[in-house]
Amino acid sequence: MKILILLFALKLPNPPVVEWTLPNGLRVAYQRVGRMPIVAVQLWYHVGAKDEPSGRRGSAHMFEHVMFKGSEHVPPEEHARLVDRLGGRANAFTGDDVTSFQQVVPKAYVDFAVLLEAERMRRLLFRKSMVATEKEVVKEEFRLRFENDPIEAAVLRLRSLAFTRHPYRYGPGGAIEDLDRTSADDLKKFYDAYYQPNNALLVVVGDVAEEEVRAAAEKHFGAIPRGADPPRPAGDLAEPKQAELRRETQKPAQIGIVIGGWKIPGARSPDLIPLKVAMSILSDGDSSRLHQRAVRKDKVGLGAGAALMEAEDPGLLLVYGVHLAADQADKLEAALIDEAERLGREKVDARVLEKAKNQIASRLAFALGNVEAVAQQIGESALLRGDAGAWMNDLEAIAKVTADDVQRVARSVFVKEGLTVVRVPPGAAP
Amino acid sequence: VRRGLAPALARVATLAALAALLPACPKKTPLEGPTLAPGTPGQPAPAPPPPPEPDPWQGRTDLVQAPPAQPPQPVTLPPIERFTLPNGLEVLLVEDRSLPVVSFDLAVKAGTIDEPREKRSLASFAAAMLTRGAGARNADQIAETIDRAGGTLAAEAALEWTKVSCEAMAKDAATCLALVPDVVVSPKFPEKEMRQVREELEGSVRRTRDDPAALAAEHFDNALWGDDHVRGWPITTETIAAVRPKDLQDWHKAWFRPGNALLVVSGDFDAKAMRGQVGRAFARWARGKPATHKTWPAPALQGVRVRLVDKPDQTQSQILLGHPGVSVADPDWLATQLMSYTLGEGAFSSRLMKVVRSQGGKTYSADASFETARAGGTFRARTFTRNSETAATLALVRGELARMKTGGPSADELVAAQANLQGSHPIGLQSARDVGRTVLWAELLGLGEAFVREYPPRVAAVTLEQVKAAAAENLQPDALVVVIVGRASEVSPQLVKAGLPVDTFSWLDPSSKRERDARVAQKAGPVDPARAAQGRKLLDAALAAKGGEARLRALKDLTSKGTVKIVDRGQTLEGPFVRWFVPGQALRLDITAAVGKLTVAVTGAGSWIIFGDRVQDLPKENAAQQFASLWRDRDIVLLRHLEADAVVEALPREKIDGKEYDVVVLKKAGGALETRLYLDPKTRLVFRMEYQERGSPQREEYRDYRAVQGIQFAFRQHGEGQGQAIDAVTSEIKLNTGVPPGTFDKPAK
Repeated sequence: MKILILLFALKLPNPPVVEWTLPNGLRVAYQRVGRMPIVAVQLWYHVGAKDEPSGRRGSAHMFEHVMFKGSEHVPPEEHARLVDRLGGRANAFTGDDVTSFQQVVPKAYVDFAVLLEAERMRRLLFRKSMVATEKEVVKEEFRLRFENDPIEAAVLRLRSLAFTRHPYRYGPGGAIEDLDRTSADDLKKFYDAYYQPNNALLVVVGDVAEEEVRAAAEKHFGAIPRGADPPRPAGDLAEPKQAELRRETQKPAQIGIVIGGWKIPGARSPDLIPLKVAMSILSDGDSSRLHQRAVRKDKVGLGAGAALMEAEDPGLLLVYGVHLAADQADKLEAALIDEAERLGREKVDARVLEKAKNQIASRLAFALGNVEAVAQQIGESALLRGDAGAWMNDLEAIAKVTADDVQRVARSVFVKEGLTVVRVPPGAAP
Repeated sequence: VRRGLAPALARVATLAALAALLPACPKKTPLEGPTLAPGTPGQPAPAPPPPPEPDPWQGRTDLVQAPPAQPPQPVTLPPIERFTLPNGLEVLLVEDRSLPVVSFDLAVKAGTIDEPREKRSLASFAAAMLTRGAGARNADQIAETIDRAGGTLAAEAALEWTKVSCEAMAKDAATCLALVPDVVVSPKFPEKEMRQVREELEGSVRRTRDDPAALAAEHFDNALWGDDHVRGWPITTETIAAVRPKDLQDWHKAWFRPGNALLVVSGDFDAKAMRGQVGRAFARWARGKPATHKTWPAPALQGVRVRLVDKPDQTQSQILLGHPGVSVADPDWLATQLMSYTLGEGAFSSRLMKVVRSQGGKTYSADASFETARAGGTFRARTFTRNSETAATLALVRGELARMKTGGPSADELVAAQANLQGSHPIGLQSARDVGRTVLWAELLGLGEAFVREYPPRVAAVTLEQVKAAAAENLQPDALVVVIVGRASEVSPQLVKAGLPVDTFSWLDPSSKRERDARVAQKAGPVDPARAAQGRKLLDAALAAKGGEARLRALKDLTSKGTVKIVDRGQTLEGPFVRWFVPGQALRLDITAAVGKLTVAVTGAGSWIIFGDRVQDLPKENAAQQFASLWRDRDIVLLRHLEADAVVEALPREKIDGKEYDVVVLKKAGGALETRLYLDPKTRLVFRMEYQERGSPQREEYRDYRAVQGIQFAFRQHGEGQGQAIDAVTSEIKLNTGVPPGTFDKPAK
């Protein structure tokens, strides 16, 4: 009971997230936080790699780039330059489910940042020469991330083994030959399908009043008409239940890596809460079970951890270990898998449970001091879980997780026939 | 087979016995992953000449304009209390109760720049060891203590300092107050924890070889600073191994003194109470005079020197160029920072991004920056591009350096740079932790806490003349070091054509000349006669077990059949195979896979691949290399040590999967075709062969030996290297039955 009291005492200092919807369907989420006179303004589109047409893998990410390449009243790259010039910064990322355009600006320029996002929502200009140049840029990013880094390549491979049907098998990088095939017309179609107010969320977080945010949203987005409901091709591509262990060995790299992955429920599932506790037990800190087992006790690797691919549709929980000697791979794999399965076999004791809850709570507390990190939480929460404020309740939900909950989700997730393993063997020392 | 065949061909030599490759674009089965096709070397990416499109923004008056800029304001920081403990430790308290968290950051003014050459890695080694046993706790107890509080504890060495950081919820501040003094004042450096740290450091040394940007950085430091400057010395397996327990103790004793350190505590606490707590916690830290920092003269560069690091599987070149920079103590440091924003630090607002990415489409990112350090520091410009555009991209970057040096930024560019730097300053100061760390950073660099408050007006006060002068003074486009990590076969001709002097290294070569010389000396050194004799004895025994010299010499041709599975970068090729081998002359392998029939032939007259109805030749140089490597074919390699002047050396036995093997190194006369043989001490037969092929390690393993006409053949083979893993099961082997006429003839294209 002690821990419950502690966490309730630690009520989040942030006020609740305020959320409203414009008549054209644009959702707006706002929270006033922060000590500095700055504001995060982010526009989240509910479109990601999983929405790409087949044969055009990578187009969501490419589209993210195109959003900087000029609209009716803003020449190419000028969006970013205008933000820079105000003392702000602009960025963007593409995920499996969402694409997010982010800026943080001094508080005097909130209205201007909203104007810039509204401008490129429907007024983008598509020029063939621009698409040709930007295609090369995107391909360089792909080469950088996936072709020339064995670890990234291994994770990508694990996705494509774990998912046989669902488009999570591709990842936001896509494929070079698909990028080559993507035309300006393809991009325009993609834009019209997904870059519409009724498929977007404006997030504003920082030192700004609600009335100011309401006025800016209405002024710049209000006149944009609602679009058609966007297509959801992944809806027909549900991943069949995995019925056998899948394993593959990649080409060697200088350091070896073993990655194992199991499917987990989608972000809306209440099971994600105990799963986050399970993951913390496995991988948070040097006293975590994976590190203690693989590195300290069995001495079969120099690092071990876990990662959660929390996604709208069922995603993955990965465990991984890094090693130098080739003959450690089998034992390392066995240790990683055994520690995960052990969570289903044995109930965790109260100390372990409490430690995990403390770790989750303090990591969240540190993130609260940053407007971009808070806006990110809100955006993910709104689009993946359907509720912009859902993340604010997580601490309370985490505090209620019992050892039985952890054991139950671990039993359902960590099953042999649902496991996919990819290994990169270590090469000889140089 | 539209793409990727040529690079795949280049890899055909790997695992010579099974010579195999995968077409990168066969029809995809639903289970196949995304094609990680290598780039198209020699063929510039399909960038069609841009059709003259009208500029839709030209002459327009209704474009979006930026609102007027705000005047620069000093930032308001939370109150900062500053005091010095009786032992000389300087402490800053940043009290900010908006979030229930607290951070402790303690820096000791000694970093990687203070390491001795032969023990390079010492600062990082010592930092990592601080948390592996200190005060009354061992490594696991320290981890358990901080993790139970939900906090984090980390220690890391940077160039000029070593920092210990502890974070926790405010209610758990006592945990940090107990752990930080322990790890800083009373680390135990237990010897039994050194193995793990050594392995971690070794891992990062090896990881550098997998990370082209990190590999470029290592070579850049060496090429720029040289073998006689601490920043030019690479960390190697040897320098890590040279660190002994006493070195860690000595390092700690020399530098970890309260008068040589600075502590910042930030977050949710009562400053008055914290002052007392900190005083008590660090009271036991004894005064002492720290060691003195050695100073290093900056190198004087002349001309442009290019170091090309050949990594044959790269589909992209990493480009890193630069020269010594300016010290943070230099009066034109801030003006240089403003110039650097316009040149390469300001993302889309920088000239490099505009020219190389936005207009050129050559990269995803291009940047340039001056390192912030009290010691000289470095200026670096970085980008990456497909191999075929390497020289063109390098020329673009150098052009921008020259343009900036000559003209400096325009008045408008300076206004934009000032507006960004002063306006975005608060973004880095949002939390108490941000403020604490920034103040610590400013103090360590000698800029002082006031710099953090007054940064916006100070930036605004810099004039265009000062920035132009800084550009003219601090950029050296004609005296710099360039490092490129990429595929040399493609990049080298471009650089030669551009008239640049190039030194080429393998990606596995040590970056420093001293280490390279040591390695050559080690390789060229005469083999110890006893070990040579022992090696010959082992090979003689292996040859006898294989079936004997006479039988092998009588082998005129060999035809085998079976099934093979090849996995190449995530793609799988599987099916029955037929293999013809004529010792000393030719090898051919046919695989009938679902995607079509594949033939690979290696002959003295050339090597080629046939897929479907396409015939493709291997580049001449590779073909010759292929052919030469038939020398070590698994079934005749045991005759090689009998050749005149063959080099043989027995190495200590090695364990593989718990089983011991005899190890013998075999080289052709003159040292070529180095091959490492692992021999089963029981059967005497070859279990494994290891060798390098185009800079990549290759491995073959043999199992299930059975006799055919008195010769032992492995009926199961496994191989891996250069992106491929091959498994073959042989069902039938026939000897001296003759090879059908035309087997090694190349069909017309």
